[in-house]
Amino acid sequence: MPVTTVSIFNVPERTSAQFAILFESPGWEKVRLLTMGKPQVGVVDLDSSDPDRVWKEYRKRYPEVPSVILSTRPQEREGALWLTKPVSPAALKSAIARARKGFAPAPQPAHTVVSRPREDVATRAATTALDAEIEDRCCGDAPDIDPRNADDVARATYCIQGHFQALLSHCCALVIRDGKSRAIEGLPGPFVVHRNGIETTIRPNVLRSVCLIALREDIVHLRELVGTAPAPATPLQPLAPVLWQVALWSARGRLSRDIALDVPVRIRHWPVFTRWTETPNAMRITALLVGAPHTPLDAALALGVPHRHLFPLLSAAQAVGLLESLPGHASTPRIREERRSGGDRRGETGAREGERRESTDRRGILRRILGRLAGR
Amino acid sequence: MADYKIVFTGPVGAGKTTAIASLSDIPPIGTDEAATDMTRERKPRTTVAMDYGLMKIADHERLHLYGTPGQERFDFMWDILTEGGIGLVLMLDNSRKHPQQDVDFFVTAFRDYIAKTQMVVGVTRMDTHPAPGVSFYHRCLAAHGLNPAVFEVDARRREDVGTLVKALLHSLDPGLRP
Repeated sequence: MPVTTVSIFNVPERTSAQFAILFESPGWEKVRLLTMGKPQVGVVDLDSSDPDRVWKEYRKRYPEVPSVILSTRPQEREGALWLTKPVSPAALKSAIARARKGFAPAPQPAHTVVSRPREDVATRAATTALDAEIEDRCCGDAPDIDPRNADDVARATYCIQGHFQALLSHCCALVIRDGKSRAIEGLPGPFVVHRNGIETTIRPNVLRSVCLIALREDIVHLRELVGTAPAPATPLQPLAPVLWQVALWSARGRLSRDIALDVPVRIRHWPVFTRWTETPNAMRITALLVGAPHTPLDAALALGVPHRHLFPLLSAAQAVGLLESLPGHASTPRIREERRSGGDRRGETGAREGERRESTDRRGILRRILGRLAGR
Repeated sequence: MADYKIVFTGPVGAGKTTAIASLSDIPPIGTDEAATDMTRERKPRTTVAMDYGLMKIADHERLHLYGTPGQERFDFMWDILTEGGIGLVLMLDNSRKHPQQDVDFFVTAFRDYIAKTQMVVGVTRMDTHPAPGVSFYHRCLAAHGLNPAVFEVDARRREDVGTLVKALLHSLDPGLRP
């Protein structure tokens, strides 16, 4: 096929220059950008505040030239075919070729393939079962507390001293500080902390039981490994995910007593939820507290999450050094403002109403995407 | 039909194409071609135009997954790709020599888009190249005033990529209920 001359209309200068670069790329030898004169094919961007006016101007300049329209919205114009943005170079090349041939039918575009959601039933069932197990083992089933009730507070908080979590945290700190591996002896199996990971054959359900009981110092203790530690017999598990998991098991729905209920806290960074256990509502809580400090009670209220979901996450974040307490800092009622939209809206301005509707629509689509990812 | 999109970006070989394939309901449409320049060292075939995948959300809603070309000379496509997008997934390859430069480049290139939406970061090849760790990327991003989710991911695993996108959605709206 001979070279097709193409003119670009209604694009910024930078984009025009970029098209020039594209047309000079390998594979585009049959297309040449024309800046003056009548092209064989015109490419026009109709995304503007007045596409009809742009089209009129375009047709005045290039009457009857077969054309390719670039737009995010459907465009039906005589003598032109529409490509929805974003446009791939391959689609553009194909459209230019079709325009040159007088719009011969093209093969079915690949992106019109009928979408069929995957049937993830088995995965969904497994995930649901796993979620239920995580909730049971890390969050328990205790009801929310009344912070004015001392018995409630005592029930929902715990002290890590004398428990495996404290011993493991201490051990990790020592190993990181001096690089010397240490064994935690007296457990139902070998447990060695190296600088680059933990070596153990203790099964998770056994280790979880260890987390829930008070340890006797005369039975469970640390021993520094002298000399070069032998090569690990089992694959090492990274320190942070293990510490995170141990803290979740230890908390089981409760809050570490080192975290005050009425002091704002912030999560410094997102936990690595692709590798660390993700408890119920963990992402929502993290997104809130990475963005703005809240007291634990305010965070639970703002998100509408049960205390048993919030408390272990905060306890685990503290165990791995991701939680920062900010005494004197104001708690930020970030979500509550949005939640107010469900209540009294008298006096709401039109603009505010529009924003609210837009926010609701957006939340709807985000929720549906989330559901789709969860296999619902 | 309502259409939404998420843009995947990152350097050559970081796993954008694979990540999109992990989530897409349709066979992803790629435009890989034989690499003709220095990218050949990292990936024999590289994406010169873009990748495309699709998730059907509801009867009349679709989520388009676009992957930018990894080669910087095609960055002119990026403005077009990001228009109307709901967020950015930055895929980084932990085996690359200058990961900080990668962060700086892509965060700068998508600065305006990130300011309007949200981003998350997926770091691949941490299993074979454990260093630098996730905290390194947090420091790099903090220099740009950003504190997004940074996850170790295997782009071949749908759970990993799905978790990354879930973090993006919750970053956009922490009040979002499952």
